Amino acid sequence: MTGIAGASQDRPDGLRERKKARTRAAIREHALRLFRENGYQRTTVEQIAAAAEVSPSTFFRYFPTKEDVVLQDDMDTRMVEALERQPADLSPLSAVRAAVRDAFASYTEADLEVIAETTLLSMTVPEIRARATDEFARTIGIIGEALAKRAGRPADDLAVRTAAGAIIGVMMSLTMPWHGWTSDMQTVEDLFGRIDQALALLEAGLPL
Amino acid sequence: MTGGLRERKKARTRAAIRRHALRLFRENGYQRTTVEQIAAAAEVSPSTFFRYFPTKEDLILQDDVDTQVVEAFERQPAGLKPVAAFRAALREVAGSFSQADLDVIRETTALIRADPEIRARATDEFARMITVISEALARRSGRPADDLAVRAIAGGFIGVILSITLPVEGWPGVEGLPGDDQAIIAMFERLDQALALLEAGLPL
Repeated sequence: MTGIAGASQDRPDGLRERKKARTRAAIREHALRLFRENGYQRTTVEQIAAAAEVSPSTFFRYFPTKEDVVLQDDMDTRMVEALERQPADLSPLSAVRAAVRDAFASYTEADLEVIAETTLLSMTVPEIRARATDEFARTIGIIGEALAKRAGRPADDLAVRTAAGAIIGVMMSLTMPWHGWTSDMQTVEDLFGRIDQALALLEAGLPL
Repeated sequence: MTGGLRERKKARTRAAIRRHALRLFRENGYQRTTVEQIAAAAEVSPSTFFRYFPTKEDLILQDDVDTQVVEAFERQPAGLKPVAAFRAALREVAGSFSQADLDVIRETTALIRADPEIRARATDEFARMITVISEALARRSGRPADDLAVRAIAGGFIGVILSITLPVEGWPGVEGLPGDDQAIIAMFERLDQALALLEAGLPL
């Protein structure tokens, strides 16, 4: 698991973690600005690092590749944190739905802009899409770990893996018609509303 | 299927291209094998190759098990619920695997796990599969293919398949490639169990 998994655990050494989260956010912010101004392909990691006042090697400690700046939008970390706060007696899917709702409610205007921008980039830039499968696998792992903790089961338990995979799968199905995607097709709010409905269908055993 | 003779000829050509490609990958490595070499070995032109497979990666990703599953899915009784019908289709397909099918599945699974370039193309393949399954569900149910419930079901299937087959860090069993026929059959059994959980609303 990469650095953000560590950042998600709010340890007593909160100060250091907060500093790391700030650096990460600054790198992303400058990267997205440069992508807007010069295009994704024409922006180099060196330029992003210089704008964020870090070295390229520091950049790579936060993001293994340029694509990951876009793909690892940290919304999964926020959701996992929200999931850990849900009452233990909620079913896994109810807890995930509540966590997605809580995470959405916590988004600032700036967060919503980041989500809209990273979603559009993931849809339209082939290099980013190419990296997305590894990101799906990573996210399935992160959600699986959180579900396993809640259920007191091992993370490689079939039921845990299946739940994590199905959750990511329905999210993929709502965000993935890559072709012909435009940013005005749905707002982030619409998207989260649809994700909530899809998770409710999962809980009901996917009736039709 | 209708138009049987021509379809069968096309299926044979497709299978021949894949068979020669997998042999060349074994002998020379995936990266070092070119489309030109594959086409020459299968006695077709490179442009014919590209009519069957848009890229070299697609030859690995489109293993035709998906086509068989979708066809079997369409044959299931209308009264079966979507997940039950999908399970029945997968069981039907897995039950009819020939030795050649098992060999193809073993080799393509190993390549997908080992090669980042193939995985890179996999994202588009997942998107395509979600759309193909949505269209089959839409035909079954009379709903539009972009209906939320229809897409959610297709996404649920693909997500479960990913969770069983993709390398997820820290999950044992995935880094060990399906080395023999038994392991592939076990993989399909796990998939069936996982779909049963999906049908039950993912209890934990």
